[in-house]
Amino acid sequence: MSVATAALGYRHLLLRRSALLLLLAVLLATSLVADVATGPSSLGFSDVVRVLLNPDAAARPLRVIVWDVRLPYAVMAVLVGAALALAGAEMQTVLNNPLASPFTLGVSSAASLGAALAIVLGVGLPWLPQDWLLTANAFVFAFGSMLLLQALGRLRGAGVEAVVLFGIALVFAFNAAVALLQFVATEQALQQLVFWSMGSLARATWPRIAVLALALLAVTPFCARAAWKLTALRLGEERALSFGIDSRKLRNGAFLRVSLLAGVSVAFVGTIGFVGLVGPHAARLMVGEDHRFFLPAAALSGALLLSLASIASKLVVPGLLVPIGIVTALVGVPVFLALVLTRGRAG
Amino acid sequence: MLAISEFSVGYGRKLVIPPFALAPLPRGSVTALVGPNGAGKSTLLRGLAGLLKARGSARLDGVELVGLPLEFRAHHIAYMPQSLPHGVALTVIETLVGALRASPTDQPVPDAAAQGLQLLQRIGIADLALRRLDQLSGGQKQMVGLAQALVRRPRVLLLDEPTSALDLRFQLAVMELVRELTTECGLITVVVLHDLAQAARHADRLVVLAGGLLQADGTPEEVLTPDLLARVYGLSARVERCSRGQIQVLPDAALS
Ligand SMILES: Nc1ncnc2c1ncn2[C@@H]1O[C@H](COP(=O)(O)OP(=O)(O)OP(=O)(O)O)[C@@H](O)[C@H]1O
Ligand SMILES: [Mg+2]
Repeated sequence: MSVATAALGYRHLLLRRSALLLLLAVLLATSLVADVATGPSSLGFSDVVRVLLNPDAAARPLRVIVWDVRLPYAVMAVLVGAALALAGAEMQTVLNNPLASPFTLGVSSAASLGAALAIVLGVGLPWLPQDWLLTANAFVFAFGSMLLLQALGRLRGAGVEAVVLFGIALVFAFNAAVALLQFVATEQALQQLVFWSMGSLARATWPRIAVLALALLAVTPFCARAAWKLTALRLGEERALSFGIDSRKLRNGAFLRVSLLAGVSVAFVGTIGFVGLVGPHAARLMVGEDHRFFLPAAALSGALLLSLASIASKLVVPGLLVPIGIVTALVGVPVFLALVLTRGRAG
Repeated sequence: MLAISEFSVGYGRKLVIPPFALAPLPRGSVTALVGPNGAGKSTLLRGLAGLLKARGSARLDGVELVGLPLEFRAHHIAYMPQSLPHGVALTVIETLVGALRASPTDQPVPDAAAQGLQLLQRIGIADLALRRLDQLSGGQKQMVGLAQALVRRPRVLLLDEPTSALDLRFQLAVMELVRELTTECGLITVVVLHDLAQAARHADRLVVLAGGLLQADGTPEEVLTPDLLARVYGLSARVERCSRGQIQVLPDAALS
């Protein structure tokens, strides 16, 4: 192959990857509209688009259904999916482990513990309004667990494998603590706790959406700046170091972003496990690991997956909104298997 | 010129290379670093590349490298580690572009892809440019690893066993390329090799390390003697010249 042919091939590769990102974005937009259209009173696709684009012209009941009831859920699904998958992608890269994700390394368990403390014992940050208490507690624990993990990773002699093992140990520790609280909880508190940990978009409100959107916006420039370094880190730690990359600083930055994204997401919607693991894998199969494409593709895949799960959660049992945490895995597993089986076209 | 004196490296408190000095390595020279397994060759290279904390002094054209932050050191030095990671979903050319773009202090490269491709062609593996890294053979991966080091156009080139997985033709091609680039760009090249005949053939100078200590340093003719092979490798061996005058090492038996 001549250099010219190869250069052309490389340019095609970049084009194809950009096109895939665009395709994912289009699919996501479609899924978002479909999500809003789906529900007890079924709306037409075009009606939804019309109300979304021009709310003032729509009839009041329609406007309320679309803007106040369904759109918050649908947008929350997209944002949470994007945040968790982006967090998972960064974790998998900096820990060099395809099984790393906020869920598998303890973020969700930590959030559950925080929630359990608030629900069962009423323990929490004192100066917060009541309806934010649970959320704030879950966030503090989720964020804290990631920082703890990072701190453990800094112990002398601990490598990235050790961090993964620490994370798994944390899952068990937090789960045990939650089980203990469940054991002593009143029946009512127990029910609330179980429902909380199932993961549900029913807690979506516009202020919460704004907080999560801000978190995503805040990390985006840092992700973009780290993209080349993260790509180089895939060539191995020694090589990355020899390129002059401070891998420790890179890792710490990534962990901070992951803590924020995962902490906020889990605090708002509870345990939604699969998407942080599968989003990055789907992205890797589609666009490879050039992080300029990999990170946005992971975010888009995660968002799409959770948006589809949100639609499915309304359809599984007609008339009932099944907690999305349950549906994610049900939708995610077949999607994941299909992707794995059609791999090799990633190029 | 690279001048190394009182240079020591280790892992944490474990000192692998006690204070160590070497006659200066001039530009345009290829030095082969040889020695038995576990001698500390990789450790020495890691220390020079700045991956491990070192003490003492290593001056490159008067600039002290020890203590220089990694990103500045990476400006001068390219290091090729012994291994490439598994399961990386990147194409060969993407890894080269990444290597060029990720270095923090390097000048912005106008066309990293073109630069990478030219190098691949020079090494003779342009046809691998669009292949996935994890779908290459061991030797192909090694060539790509070499390209990742070379593409950064360093002044000092540290190669850890660059030919250990290559077939005969590519062993020759790679070492000749290293020689060419070293002369052409005035590099200071240090190559870890296990094949002593190869080292004798391609290097100007042989540095022998065992147990972290310098055992011999000189031209291949000076260094490669049956006595040294017995002392360092515990091997009874002959050193002979073939009909073309190249040094051959013929092992006979392990000394107990
Ligand atoms: N990460 C590490 N931590 C502690 N000790 C190490 C580490 N890596 C290597 N060593 C030790 O340092 C010594 C030198 O190892 P080094 O890898 O430098 O040998 P080498 O000469 O490159 O050997 P080989 O020819 O097998 O590659 C060995 O005794 C080894 O056990
Ligand atoms: Mg070695």
